Amino acid sequence: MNRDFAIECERLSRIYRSGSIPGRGRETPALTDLTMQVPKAVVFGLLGPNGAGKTTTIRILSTLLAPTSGSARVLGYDVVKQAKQVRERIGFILGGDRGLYGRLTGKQNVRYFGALNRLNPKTAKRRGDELLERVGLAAAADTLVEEYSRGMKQRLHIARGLLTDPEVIFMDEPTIGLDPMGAQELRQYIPELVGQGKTILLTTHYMLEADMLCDEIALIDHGRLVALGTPDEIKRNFSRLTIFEIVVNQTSETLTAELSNIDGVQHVETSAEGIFQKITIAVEAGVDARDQIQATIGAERVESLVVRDPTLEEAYVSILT
Amino acid sequence: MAAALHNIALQAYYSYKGLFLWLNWTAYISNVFIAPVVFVVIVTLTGRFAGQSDSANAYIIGMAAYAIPAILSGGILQSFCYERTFGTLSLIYASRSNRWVTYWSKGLLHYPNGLLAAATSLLFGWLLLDLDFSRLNWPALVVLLLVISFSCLCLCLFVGNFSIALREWIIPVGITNGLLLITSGVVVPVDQLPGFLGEIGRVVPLTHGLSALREAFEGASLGDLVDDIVYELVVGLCYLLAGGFLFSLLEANAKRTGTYESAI
Ligand SMILES: Nc1ncnc2c1ncn2[C@@H]1O[C@H](COP(=O)(O)OP(=O)(O)OP(=O)(O)O)[C@@H](O)[C@H]1O
Ligand SMILES: [Mg+2]
Repeated sequence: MNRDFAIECERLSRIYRSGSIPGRGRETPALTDLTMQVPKAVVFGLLGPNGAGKTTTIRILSTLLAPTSGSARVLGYDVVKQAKQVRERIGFILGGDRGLYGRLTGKQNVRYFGALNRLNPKTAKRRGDELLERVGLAAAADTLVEEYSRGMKQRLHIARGLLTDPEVIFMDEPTIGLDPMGAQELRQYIPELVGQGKTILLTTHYMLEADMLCDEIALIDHGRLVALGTPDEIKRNFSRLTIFEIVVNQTSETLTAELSNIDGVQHVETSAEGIFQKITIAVEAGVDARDQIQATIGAERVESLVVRDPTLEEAYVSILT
Repeated sequence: MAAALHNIALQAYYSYKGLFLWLNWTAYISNVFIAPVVFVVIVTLTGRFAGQSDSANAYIIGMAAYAIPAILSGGILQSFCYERTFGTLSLIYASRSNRWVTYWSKGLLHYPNGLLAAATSLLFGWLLLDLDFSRLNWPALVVLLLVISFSCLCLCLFVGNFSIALREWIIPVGITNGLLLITSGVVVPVDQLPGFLGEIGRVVPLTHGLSALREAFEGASLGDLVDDIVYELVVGLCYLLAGGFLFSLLEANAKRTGTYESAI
C-alpha cells in the first residue's frame, strides 16, 4: 500500500456473466489485468473505444461493482474490503438520463443526496446551492428534473457528484451533452479542483479535452491496457508516428493512393486549405520518408511542408487500429 | 443527533416524493379513499347476499383492515421497483448511508396512508352499511390500527426487496394482497382455512391484529387484547429485520452480478 497514490489497480479484472441458466450463460470479459497507479492531485484520463471497460473500471473503483479478480485501492483503502472508507472519500459523476428523481427539483435531488450521504443538512444546503450556481442551474434549481434538458441533467449530475467535497472524483464522460460554454466551464473547473488537492479520474471521447486536461492517460481496449503515460508520451512513444502536413497547389486523382504505397506510410488524408490542398500523412516513426514523399508529390507543387508530432487523436487512432 | 434525524426525515420525504407515483390528486384519492370503500361495500354486500347478514360487521372490519396492506403494498412496492428503474439504487449502494436506516425510511411516509385508508373504510362502513360502533372500545381501535399499519408496512418493506430483484411491482403487489386476503381472516375465518393456508395465516401480519380489532368492536379492552397486539408487533418486527437483511443481501448481489444498473 502506497499512500502517495490516489488510485492503484493491481491486475484488476471483471467478467460479466449473463443468463441465469447454468452452462448457457454468456461471459463478457470487460476488464482484463488492468494494472495502473494514479498519483494524488492529478487528472488521469481513461480513454478507449466504446465497450473498452472504462465505465466498468469506474464502477469497480466507486465500490458499485466487485472485481472478478485482482484488487484496487483508493487512497490506500481496498475497494472491496474497505468499501466504507472508500465511499467516504469519493464522488462520482456517471451522468446520463437516469440516476435522478424526475419528480423532484434539482435542488431537492441534491439535498436528498446530501442526506443519503449523511452530510450536515446545513452544510449540504449551502454547498448544494453554491454548486447549483456554479454549474449554471441556479435559475432552474426549483424546476422538476423531468423538465430538464439532457445538458441540464448532466449539470445536475456534476453538482451532485461534487456535493460531498470528495478527495477522489470519478467522472464518466462528464462533458457529454453539455453546450460549449458548459463544457468549457467544467474544463476550467477541473484544474481548480486539482489545485485543491483532489484527484480526478476522467473518461472522455473528446481527445482535445483529454489532451488539454490530463496529466496522465491510460488507453484501454477490449479491457486491456494498451498505453500508459503523459499525453506527450502517448503521442511520441506509443503511437510511433510522425505527421507530415504538406500544403500543395495541385493534386492528382492518384496521388493519395501513390502516397499510401510509400513504405512506412500508415495513413493519408487530404483536405481543402484555402485555394490549396492540405495533405496529412502519418508515417511510422524512424522511417525517413521525407524525400520519397516530396518526390511523389513533385517539388514544384509543394507550397509548404511541416513535420510534427501526432495529435492525441491521431495517436489514439494509430494505436487502436 | 438532530442532524441525523433531520437527514432521515429528508431521505424519507424525498424518496417518497420521488418514487411514489400515485402522489397526485387523482391517483392518491382513488387509491387511498375510493378503492378501499368500494371494496368494503362489495364484500359486505356479497356477504349479505350469500345470506350472512349477521356477519356484516365482521366483513366491514375485515375489509377496512385489509385496506391497510392494500394501499401500503402498492405504494411501497412501486417505490422499490422505481428505485431500480430510475437508476437511483446505485446512489444508495455507493453512499455512506446506513443501509438499515435508508431502507426503513422508505416506509415512513407511507405509514399514514394505511391509517387513512382504514379510517375512511370504517367511516363509510358506518355511513353506508350501518357498521355498529356502539360497543367499540375506542383506545383499542386506535392502537390496533397503528399496530396493524406497522406490521403491514414491515411486510411490504420486506416484499419490496423482491420488486427490486424482479424489476416489477404489480405482480408482487397482487401476490402479497391476495395472500393476505385469503390467509389473514379478512373474509374467511382463519380456523376454517385448509391446513397449510391456516399455517400461513399465522405468520403473516394482519391475522392477529384483525382478530383483535373485531373483538374491540365487541367491547374488548386493550388489556384483553394485549396478546394479539404483541403477536402482531412481533410478526412486523420479524419482517422488518428480515427485510433489512435481504436488502443488504441484494446489495451484495448487485455488486457481484453487476446487473442492477440496467432497468429493463
Ligand atoms: N451489466 C453488464 N452485463 C453484461 N455485460 C456488460 C455489462 N456492463 C457492461 N458490459 C460489457 O462490458 C464491456 C465494457 O463495458 P463498459 O461499459 O465498461 O465500456 P466503456 O468503456 O465505458 O464504453 P463506452 O465508451 O461506450 O461508455 C462491454 O463489452 C459491455 O458490453
Ligand atoms: Mg462508459
